[in-house]
Amino acid sequence: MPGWQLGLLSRPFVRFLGRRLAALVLLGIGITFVAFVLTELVPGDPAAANLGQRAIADPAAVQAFREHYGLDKPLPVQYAVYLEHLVTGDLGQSEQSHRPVRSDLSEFVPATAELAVTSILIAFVLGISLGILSAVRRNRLTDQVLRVISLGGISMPTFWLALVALYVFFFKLGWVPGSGRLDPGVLPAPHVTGLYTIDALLAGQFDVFVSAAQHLILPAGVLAAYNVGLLTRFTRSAVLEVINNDYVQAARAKGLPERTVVLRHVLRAALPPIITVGGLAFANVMTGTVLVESIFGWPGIGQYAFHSATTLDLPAIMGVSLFVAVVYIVVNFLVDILYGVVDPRIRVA
Amino acid sequence: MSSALLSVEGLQVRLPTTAGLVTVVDGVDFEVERGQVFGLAGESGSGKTISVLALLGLLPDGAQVEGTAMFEGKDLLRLGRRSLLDIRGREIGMVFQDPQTSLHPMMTIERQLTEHVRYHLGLNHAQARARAMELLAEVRIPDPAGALGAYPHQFSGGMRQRIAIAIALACRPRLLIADEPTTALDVTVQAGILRLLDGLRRQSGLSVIMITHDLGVMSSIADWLTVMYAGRVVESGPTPEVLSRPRHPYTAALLAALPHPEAVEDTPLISISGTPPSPQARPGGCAFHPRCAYAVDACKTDVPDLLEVGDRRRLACPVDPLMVPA
Amino acid sequence: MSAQPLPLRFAGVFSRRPGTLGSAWRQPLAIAGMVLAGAWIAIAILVPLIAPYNPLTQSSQLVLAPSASHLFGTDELGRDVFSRVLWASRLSLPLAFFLVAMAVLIGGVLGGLAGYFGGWVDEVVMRATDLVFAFPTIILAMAVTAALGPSLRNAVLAVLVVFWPSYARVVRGLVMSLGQSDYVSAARLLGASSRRALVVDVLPNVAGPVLVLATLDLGNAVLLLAGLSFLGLGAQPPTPEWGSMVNTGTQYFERWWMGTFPGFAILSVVLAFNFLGDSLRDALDPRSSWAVQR
Repeated sequence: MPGWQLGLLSRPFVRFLGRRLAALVLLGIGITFVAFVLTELVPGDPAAANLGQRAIADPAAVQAFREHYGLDKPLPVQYAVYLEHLVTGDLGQSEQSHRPVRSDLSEFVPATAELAVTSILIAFVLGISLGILSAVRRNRLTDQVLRVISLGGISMPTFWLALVALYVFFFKLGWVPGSGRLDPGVLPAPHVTGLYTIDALLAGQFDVFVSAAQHLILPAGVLAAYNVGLLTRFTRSAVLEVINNDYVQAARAKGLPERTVVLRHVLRAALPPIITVGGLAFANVMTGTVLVESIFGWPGIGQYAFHSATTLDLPAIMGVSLFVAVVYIVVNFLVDILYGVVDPRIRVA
Repeated sequence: MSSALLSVEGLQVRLPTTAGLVTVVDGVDFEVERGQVFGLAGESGSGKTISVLALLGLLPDGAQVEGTAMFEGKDLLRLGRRSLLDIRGREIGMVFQDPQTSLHPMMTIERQLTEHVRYHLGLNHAQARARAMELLAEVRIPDPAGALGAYPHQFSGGMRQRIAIAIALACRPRLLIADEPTTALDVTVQAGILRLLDGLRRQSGLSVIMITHDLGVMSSIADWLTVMYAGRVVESGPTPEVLSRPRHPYTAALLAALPHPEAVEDTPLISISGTPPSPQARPGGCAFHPRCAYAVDACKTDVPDLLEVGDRRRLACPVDPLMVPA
Repeated sequence: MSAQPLPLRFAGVFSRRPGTLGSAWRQPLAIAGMVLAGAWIAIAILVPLIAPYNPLTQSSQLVLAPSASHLFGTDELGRDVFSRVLWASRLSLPLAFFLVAMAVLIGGVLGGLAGYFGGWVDEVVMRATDLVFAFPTIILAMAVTAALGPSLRNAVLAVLVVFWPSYARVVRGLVMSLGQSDYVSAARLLGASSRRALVVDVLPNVAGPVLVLATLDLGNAVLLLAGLSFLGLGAQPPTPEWGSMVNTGTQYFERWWMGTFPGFAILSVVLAFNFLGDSLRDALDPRSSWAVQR
């Protein structure tokens, strides 16, 4: 029968992706609207805040500012102007640095990307393994201990964990270096990705790699703590949902060893809900970076957001929020794709 | 008796529950001959599924098993883990009741057909794939090549069950255990599955343990019929014999409860009063006595033994009220 | 004969019955949660009687390490950390309860309406929840608080904005599935009015999952408020709040007592609510998998 195949390039799947993409775009427009509404809510005159003391006295500058942002036009037009700016990448100007927010962001994004990716990798590897272990040893001592630990993980304020970890592992034990991404005096490898570890490996500069990795480990670990707890719990319940299903029993009846049954059949079936947590995990990491980067002196967008928040640099705050939200919905879209890859039943829906 | 493919003696299974260990299977004996379709009938709670799961070592942790199950010279109940893995799928195959849930929803048909074949028989990718195509053709799946790349949810219930049968028979086992294979399917599809099983059996000398509560299915395909109630065998014999001349009151009651297609209008439906006991709450003596029309005092206290009552029939009822003189 | 044949998983159900080690786990968890939560609630109520010092009183005893007279030491303005930690519970706990209650109310009503009426009501509510979910929690809360002006009141509003959609979704889903369920249809067939069906049949079933989510959200509320205060967007000085105290602690890194104890307080409160929420979930449905996590 032709048309059987439900492979990855099949029509149903492509249509599924198309729908998801459309939803992504709509959502993107929606969040710009939210950001716009929030900027409108800010009390006070944006010109005064943005231009600083001297410029405010100059009527020409104020007028130019007003025109650029369409401040003297009705609201819907202002929104259109706002959107227009966004499309060209203009996120306004930071009140602190007096640079375009966009430049600030592009400077800080690679550092956070390195941190986020490492943290998520740690969280998934550790979380899924512990979750499987916990499910397979259900209700025995290992499971009890892991459940308490994972509960602890999701109950901990990340900023507090960062403080304590830094104090213990750096200040008292000296196991890891303190702030920054590299030891003082060490220069990063030639810029390819902006991720110091990758760039160092690409350039073959292993001493730089080691230094970067050493600085990475504590912040990435702290950021991963919440997600490890989350993933352990999710994996555990996903595996438990599946482990008594008939097809698992049928796999055993085929004479496959238990390890194959668990790792191939059970995990495969439990994967879809675990994957959907991936999006959430990303959001948690983003949340964490805002709280934690400044503690570790990590020059990323989290630290940028933190400083913007404490100094009430509104364009910067809005710019970061918008940026992170856009990345988040793209990540969710990728998660959706992955979900369709793993679970063929979705491809028809 | 040693010519039997499978010889089970004194099988007892106790499962862990909140109230401690509960005896689910309470001393079961039967033999399955080569090339035979062996029917195991009974309601839920009778222990028929647990009995066969015990044979394959698929019981939950904490289960206790006693007795012997001789299969090809090996006692299945005493095998170590490695040997059990060799038996499962390769010498004994199993088909489960609901093909909707017994096939992995996220693996292709090819994968599900070939993974154990490659594991047990060491075939390479191409050989395994060829084998899979053969199997699908045997179970009459149209377009085997296309079906290999498809997923279970793309097939109808009947086709899924055929695929499940193909999977169970992939390594050419000597014994196939089919646990309610047609119960989850439409009546119209059932006949096709039964015909398929019968055909496969005749072709290759396969033995089949057919578990079902449906006596109609039994009559059409089973050579031998064993009836279980509350964890024990109550009657067994050649299927046409048992169904036309039942000797245990339970068997007779089951048959009487079947609606007769040619009955006169308004004939009341007969049912057996009471319900089958749960494993925790089995009555003393003969477990059927509270519902039996022929029970005497001794039935409340004495557990009846399964005895030979001539001409390959076995019966666990000392009262034997339905005995038809020869 | 209509007797259902024994399902394959009959065997599995035996070993999963309550009374085995599984339920033994549940009891210590619930007890620990209740004790801890109870302790904190008691502290929040009794703090004027048990705190040794006024949390706002500055002194010349700056950044002293923990000692007999100052159990948790003093901070950069000479205030007693122990008293401040205790007094902060008066802020975080009632606010957390208030927040969750309001989120349940707003989200539940909106979700219920969406599920019940469907159509454009449903569309509007669903799009709104999508928008909120499009932002990572603290990002949105941060943006809202910053836009409105940093204050505790605005932080509470921001958290509310971020929390209500989960309840809307849950309630909507439950209302929709229950509305189609057989027994509700049966009730309607028997003549019960729609409204009665809603209250008597649907509501009790909705209460369970919502309760579990709410209990877990109590902890999340504390964490989020603390996080916002940590960023300087929530409670303003000199109000004692755990999050802002940890912030000060990061500036006085070697004076570990300034940041550690407030953070520990947050941890213990959130842990208590998570213990409770978990055991509640186990009690309501031992087989249930996951609830909505943030």
